[in-house]
Amino acid sequence: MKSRKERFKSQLISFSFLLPYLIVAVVFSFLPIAVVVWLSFQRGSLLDLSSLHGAGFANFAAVFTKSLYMKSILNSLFYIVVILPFGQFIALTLAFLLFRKNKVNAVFESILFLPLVVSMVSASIMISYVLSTNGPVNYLLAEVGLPGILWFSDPVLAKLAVVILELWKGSMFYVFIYMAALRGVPSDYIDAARIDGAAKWQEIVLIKLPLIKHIILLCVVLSTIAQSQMFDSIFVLTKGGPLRSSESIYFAIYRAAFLDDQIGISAAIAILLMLAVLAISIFQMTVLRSRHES
Amino acid sequence: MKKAAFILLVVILTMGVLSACSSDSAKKGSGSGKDGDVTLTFWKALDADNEEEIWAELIRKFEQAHPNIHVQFLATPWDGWQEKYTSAFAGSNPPDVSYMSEYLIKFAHAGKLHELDSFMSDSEKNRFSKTAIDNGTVNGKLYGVPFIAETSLMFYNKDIFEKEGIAIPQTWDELRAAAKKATKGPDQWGIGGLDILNTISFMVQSGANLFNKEGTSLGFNNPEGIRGLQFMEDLVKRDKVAPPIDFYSSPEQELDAFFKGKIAMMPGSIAFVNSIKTNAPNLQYGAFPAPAGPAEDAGAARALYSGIGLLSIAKASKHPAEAYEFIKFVIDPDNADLFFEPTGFFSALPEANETLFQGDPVMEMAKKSIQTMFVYPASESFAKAIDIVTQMREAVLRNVKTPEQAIKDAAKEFDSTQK
Amino acid sequence: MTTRRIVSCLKYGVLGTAAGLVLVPFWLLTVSSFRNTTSLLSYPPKLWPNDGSLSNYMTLFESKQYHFLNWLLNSVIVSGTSTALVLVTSALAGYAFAKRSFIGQKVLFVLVLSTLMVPGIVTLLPAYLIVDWLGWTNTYTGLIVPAIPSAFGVFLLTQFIRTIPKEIEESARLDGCGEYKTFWKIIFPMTTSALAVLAIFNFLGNWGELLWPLITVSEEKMKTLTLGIAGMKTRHAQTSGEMMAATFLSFIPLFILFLFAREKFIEGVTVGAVKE
Repeated sequence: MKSRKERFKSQLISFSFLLPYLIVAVVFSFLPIAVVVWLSFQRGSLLDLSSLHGAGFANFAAVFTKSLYMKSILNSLFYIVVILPFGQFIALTLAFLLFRKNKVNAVFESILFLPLVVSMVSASIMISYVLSTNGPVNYLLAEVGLPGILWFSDPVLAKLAVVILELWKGSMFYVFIYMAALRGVPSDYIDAARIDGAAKWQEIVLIKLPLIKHIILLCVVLSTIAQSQMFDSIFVLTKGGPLRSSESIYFAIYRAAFLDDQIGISAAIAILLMLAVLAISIFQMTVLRSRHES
Repeated sequence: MKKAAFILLVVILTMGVLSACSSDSAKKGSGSGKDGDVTLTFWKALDADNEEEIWAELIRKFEQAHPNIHVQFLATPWDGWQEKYTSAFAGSNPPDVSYMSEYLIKFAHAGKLHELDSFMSDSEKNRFSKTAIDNGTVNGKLYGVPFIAETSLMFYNKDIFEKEGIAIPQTWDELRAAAKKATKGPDQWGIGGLDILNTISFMVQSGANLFNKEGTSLGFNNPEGIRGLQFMEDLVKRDKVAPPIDFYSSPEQELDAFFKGKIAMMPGSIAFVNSIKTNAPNLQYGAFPAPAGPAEDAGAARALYSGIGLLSIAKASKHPAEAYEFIKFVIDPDNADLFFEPTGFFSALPEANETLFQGDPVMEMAKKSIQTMFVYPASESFAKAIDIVTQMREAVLRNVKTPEQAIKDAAKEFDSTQK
Repeated sequence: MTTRRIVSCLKYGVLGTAAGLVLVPFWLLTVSSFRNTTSLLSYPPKLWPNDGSLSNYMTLFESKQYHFLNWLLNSVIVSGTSTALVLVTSALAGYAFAKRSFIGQKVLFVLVLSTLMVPGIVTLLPAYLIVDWLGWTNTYTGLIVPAIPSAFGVFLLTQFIRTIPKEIEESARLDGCGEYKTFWKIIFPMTTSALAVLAIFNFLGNWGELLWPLITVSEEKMKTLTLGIAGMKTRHAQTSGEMMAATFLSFIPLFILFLFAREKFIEGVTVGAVKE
C-alpha cells in the first residue's frame, strides 16, 4: 500500500510526463476550441469582432431546421459507414500479407507507401483524371467494348468515386500502422501456438488479432474521425456535386462560416459534429474493449 | 530525470534559436525601418501568368521615384482566398494595400478599410466612369480605387464562320441560328463555355440582374430571369448547339476544344486573348459584342461578365498616405503599358487605355465597351450568390428542375441565409 | 503443396493489383510533369512523354517568380522540427495515459481525443488570432509551435504503449529503475515502430498542409513548399507543367524520409520480444 506522500509524488511524476504536451496543447489546441464553443453561442461576423452578441441556442436550432445542412450530415454518415469497414479490411489484409521482412515485401511496401506521400489534393487530382470521361478507366472500358462510366454526373456514383479516392489514399495509412503493430507481436506467442499445432488461420484470428486489439481500436476511431472531416477529396473530385449530393458536413461548416458569414452557425455545426463523433468513439471503445475482455 | 531535463533544455533552446532566426523576417513586414523609411505590404491574387515579374518591375520603378518607401508584394493564391483575407483583416496585421473585386463591400461593411475620400478629390474621381467609382463606393464613401477593368466579348472561330457562311449575329435569334449552322458532327459545337458567369449574363441580357439594387436579394426571380435561364437551357438541350454538362470533364478541356477549333463561339473575358495567343497561336479568332437579348436597356441587352478590380487601404494600416501614393502610381496612365499590355487587361481609367493594344482588332473592339460595361450591384453575399447560381445551373442542365423551379428555389435559399 | 501455391498466387495477385492500382496514377503524373501545359489533358492518355522536355524543371529554378529552393528549405525546417517535438511530447504523454494513473486521467484523455474531432476549419481563425496576438505571424515559431500538440500522436502512442506487457515495467522496477529511467531506458525504445509511424505521418501531414501556412505566412520567401505550389495556380491555369514538375520534385525528400524511417520499422521487430 502506497502512503499518501507516495501517491502524491506519483501524481506529480505523472503530470510531469504530461507537461510538455499540455503546455502547447492548452494554448494551441484547447483554447481555440474553447473559443469555438463560445462562438457557437454568438451571432455576428468574425471580421467585425464588436458585432458578436449572445444568441443562446439559436445557432443550434438553425442547424436542425435548415434542410441545407441535413443532406451533408447524411452524406457524412454514408461515407463513414462505407469507408470504415472496407478501409480497415483492406488495410488488415495487406498488412498481414506484408509485415514479414524480406526483399519482396520491402518492394511492395515502398510502392504502397506512395499514396501517403501525396497530399489529398494531389491524390484527388490524380484520381479525378483517372476516372474522368476521357481518362484511362473509360479508355480501357472502351477498348474492351464497354460504355464509359460517368462518375461525376450521378449522385450515387459521385459518392462512390469519393469512396474510391478515400480508400486509395486512406487505406495505406492504416496498412502501415497495422504493420508496425504486427511486427511488435512477440514471436514467443506465435511459436507457442505453432507448437500447439494451430493452423495458419487460427494463428491469425485467435492469436494475432486479439494482440493488436488496441491498435484496431485506434484505427477504427481514427478512421471515424477522418471520415467525419472529409473535404479536400470531395472538393477536388466533385466539388460536392452533382447538386451537393456528395457534400460532407465540412462543406456545411465552410459554407456557414465563409459564404453565409455566420461564424456562429458554423461553430455550432462543428461542436455538434464533435459531440457526435465523441459519442460514436466512446461506443466503439466500450464495444471493442468488452468483446476482448471475454 | 537527467534525460528529461536534457530534452526540455533542447526544446527551449530550439525555440529560442527559432524565434531569433525568424524575427529578422518578421521585421521586414509592414513597419518603419530607419528614420522615416516605410515598408508597405501589398497583396494580390494572380490573374496572369507572368504577373509577379510585372509587379517586381512596377515596384522597382516606384521605389526609384520614392526612395523612402519600400513595397513588399505577396501573391496570394486563389485557393483559400476567403480564409487568408478574412483572417488577415480580423487580425492585427492586414496588408496595407490589397486588391479586391466583388468582396470589397464585405470588408468595407465590417469597417476594415480606410475611407479614401480624404485622398481622392472629386475631380480625380471624375476621370473614372461612374460605374467604376460606384463599384468602390459603399454607403456613400469611397473605399476602393478602380484599377483593372475586365470586360468580356463573344470570341469566335473565323474559319468555321467563313466555311459555313455565318454572319456575325446581332440578336438572340441570330445567335441561335449561327450556332445551329456551326454545329456539326460528334464534337463540333456552335457555342461553348456556358458557365456560371455566362448563365448570369443571359439573365441580364433578358432584363434581370444578379441582385436587386440594394444587394439584399437575388435580382432574377422574375419572368426576365426565367426567360434568360430558359434560353441557355434551350441552347444546350433543345437546339443542341452547346455541349451537355458532362461532355467535357473540366473547364480546361472545354477551353482546349476551342483552341483546337472544335467550338465556334465562346464568351470570354479579355484575359482570354492572352490565353489564346499562348495556347493556340495559329487559331484564326475574332470577337464581337454579345448578341442583344430582349432587355429594354441597350447596355444590359448585350451584357457579358464585367468586373472592376480595386485597390484598397486597410483601416489598420500605419501608413495610409504612403499606401495611397503607391496606388496613385499604379493607376497612373504613364505606367499603363507596364502592367496592362503584358497581362491583357484594361485599366479602369479610360484615358489610360487609349495607347494600349493598338493594332489588336479584338482589344480595340473591347475598348469601346468599357464605358458601357455592365457590373453587378455590390453585395456582401456575392460568394453566396455564386454558390447558389452554380447549383441552379446544374439543376437545370441535369434535368432535375425547370428554370422556373430552379430560380424559385435559388431565391428561397438566398433569402433563408440573410440575417 | 498445391494449396500453398494457390495461396501464394492469390497473395501476389492481391499485392500486385494493389501495387498496380497505386502506381498508375503516379506514373501518369510523372509523365505529365515533362510535358507542356496544354497537352496535359489530351485523349487518349499518354504513357510516355515523347513530346516533353526538361523546360518545366528549368523554369522552377531559374525564374524569379518561383522561390523553389526557399520553399523547400522552409518546409524541411518546419516539418522536421515540429515532427521531432511531436515525437517527444506524444511519447511522454502516451506513457502517462497508458501506464500511469492520476486524477482526471479519463477526462483528460477524452478531452485530448475530442480535439481531434473538431474540424480544423473552425479553429483556424481563433488559432490565427492567438498566434497573431503573440506576434508569431510570418515566423518559423508561428509555423512550428502550433503544430506540436498532436492529439493523434498522443492517441497513437497511448494505444501502442498499452500493448506493452505489465511484466516489463515490473521487472525493470525490480531491477531498481526509477520512474523516469523506466521510461527512457525500457519503454521508449520499445515504441520505436510506433514512433517511426508517427514520424512519417506527422511529417507528411505537416508538409502537405495548406491552410495554416497560407494564413500565417505573408512573405514569398517564407512560404512552405506546398503553399508555394498552390500559389502557382493562376485564375486561368489550374494545372501546368511547372506545377507538375514542382509536385514531382517535392516527393523526393518525402521518399527519402520514408526509406530512412523504414530502418526503424525493422528495429521495432526485435525489440518487441518479451524477456522471459
